[in-house]
Amino acid sequence: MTYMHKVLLIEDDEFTRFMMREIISGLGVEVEIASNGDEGCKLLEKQPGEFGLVLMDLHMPVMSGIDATLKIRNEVQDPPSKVPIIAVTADVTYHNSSRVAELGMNGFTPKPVSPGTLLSLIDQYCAA
Amino acid sequence: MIATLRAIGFDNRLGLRLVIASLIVGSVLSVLSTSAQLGASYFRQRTDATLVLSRIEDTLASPLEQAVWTFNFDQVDVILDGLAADPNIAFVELQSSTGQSWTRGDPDEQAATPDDQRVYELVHKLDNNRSELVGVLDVRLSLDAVRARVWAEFWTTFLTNLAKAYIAAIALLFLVGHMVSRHLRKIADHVDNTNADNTNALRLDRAGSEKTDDLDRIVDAIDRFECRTREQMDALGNEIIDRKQAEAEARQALSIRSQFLATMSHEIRTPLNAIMGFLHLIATYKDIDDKPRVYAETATKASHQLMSLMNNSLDMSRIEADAVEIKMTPTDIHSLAKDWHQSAEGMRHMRDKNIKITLDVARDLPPLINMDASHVTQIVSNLVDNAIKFTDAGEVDIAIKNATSDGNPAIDIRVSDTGNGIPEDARARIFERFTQADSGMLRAHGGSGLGLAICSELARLMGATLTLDDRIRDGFTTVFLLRLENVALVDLPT
Repeated sequence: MTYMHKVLLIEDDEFTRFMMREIISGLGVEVEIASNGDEGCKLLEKQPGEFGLVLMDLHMPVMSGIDATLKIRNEVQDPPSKVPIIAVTADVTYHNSSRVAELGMNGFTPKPVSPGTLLSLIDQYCAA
Repeated sequence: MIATLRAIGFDNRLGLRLVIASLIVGSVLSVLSTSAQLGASYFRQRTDATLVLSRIEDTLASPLEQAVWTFNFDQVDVILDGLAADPNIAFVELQSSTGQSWTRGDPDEQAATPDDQRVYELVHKLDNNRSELVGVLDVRLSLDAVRARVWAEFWTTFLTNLAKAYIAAIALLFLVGHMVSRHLRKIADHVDNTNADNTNALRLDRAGSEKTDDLDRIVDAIDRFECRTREQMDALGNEIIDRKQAEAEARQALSIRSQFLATMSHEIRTPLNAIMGFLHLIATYKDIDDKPRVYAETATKASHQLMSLMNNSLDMSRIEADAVEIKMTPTDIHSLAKDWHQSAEGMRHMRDKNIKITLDVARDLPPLINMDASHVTQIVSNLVDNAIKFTDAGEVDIAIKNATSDGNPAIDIRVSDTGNGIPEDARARIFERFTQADSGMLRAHGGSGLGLAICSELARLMGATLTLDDRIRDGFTTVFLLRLENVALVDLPT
């Protein structure tokens, strides 16, 4: 399977970032990484239309995933403002589709992320 | 007027009762004293009257005998008139031996029943030591006039005494009002108004006196009581301040602890996630030999155990620290159920189990129900994870149905599996801490034995109940029932 779009991984923990990047790139998908919400927003603005999926950690320094989502949905130029955002979090409070939908995200996946779940997300959002 | 009356204590019940009592006692005393007074007067007058009779013998008998003897009838008339002039003598009759008769008064009316009657024999002493009866004097005494007088006197005396008693009572009221009641009222006001802010000592406005009386003793007692109370209040106040401080410190410690737990939870989980991810990468790396692959797979399983152990310990600490916050919000359970199904699939994949995960959501569930979605999710995912863990073949089912509990709508969530089942003797202890159905299981499957205890505590905290359902159905061997209560929304969000 070939993928047209890149994945933007926004995650503050270096190990997790590296681990997830390895898994995603192992699936043959191009990954860009950002270590907080602010960096993520800048990357999205710089390369509009490049990303098929944003994997968003929620608890991050500088700008949290929730604030970053708010900024992407409201401020970033279209089309990136409509980019699918999936919350990646260990916090069970956000393991709730309606809750994350209220925050402007398209879904959630619990941490630790299973490669199978990542694969199905990427299939869903980044396919040709 | 009323104010004046009130000022002198006319409105106070004590004064009034005192006055009423004084009036009753005064009236009784008036009757008694009047009776005694007039009784004494009556007896004195009667004695006087009787004395008159006695004296007749000494004073009048001799002259009367002389007058009759000498036939000096004018003199007889004078003496009898004099005798009859006494108001108490009702009837006088003199009969001489020679046949003459004199009467004074009316014998039929007044003297028919005389109070006293004397009959004197008038005897003339002759020279030769002989004597001769010259006549008989009959004197009858009537005290009717005395009684009438005394009776007339009774009313005036009684009314006078009564008036005196009443005047004394009213004077007493004023005096009691001035000397006692106003002080009592002041004491009552003082006691009423005494509080932590008003600590004025009680002082009465009284004329100075060296000797202590009852009022002084009351004032002293109240002063001492207030002093003691104030000391105790101060001590109590200090204790409350200390307690509050201790409570604040405890609360702060608790908040620091739960903050620490939350931070630790995140800080430990994050690198552990990375470790698990990398172990997975190693295990699935295409060029790797079998031995390191088994190592990596084993390390993956170990890190899963570590993760769940840590999550459970943190959850239990949070429950013990009262740091679990229950947030009931209107929730779309249909969408939530899909999330549960999806994560169940994830767990199945993670545990590498070839079993079927089924979701059975009743069609007639309300669109939104009131629940704490994240904690219900936590319970369900724990139950589902257990079900998957203990089931090697067959299926794990999540079923959501309407129910009623005490007539109120409720939601039943059943997590069922076709696994080993729970032995009969272990069913009762399954929700206790550090319990697994048998200790062999602990070795086979790991786990802290806290999972179901946490689920049960969380359920209790949100007013739900988690039980092992005895009604095994459709080939399932273990059925957990989570019954959510108070799920009806009071106000539907618009």
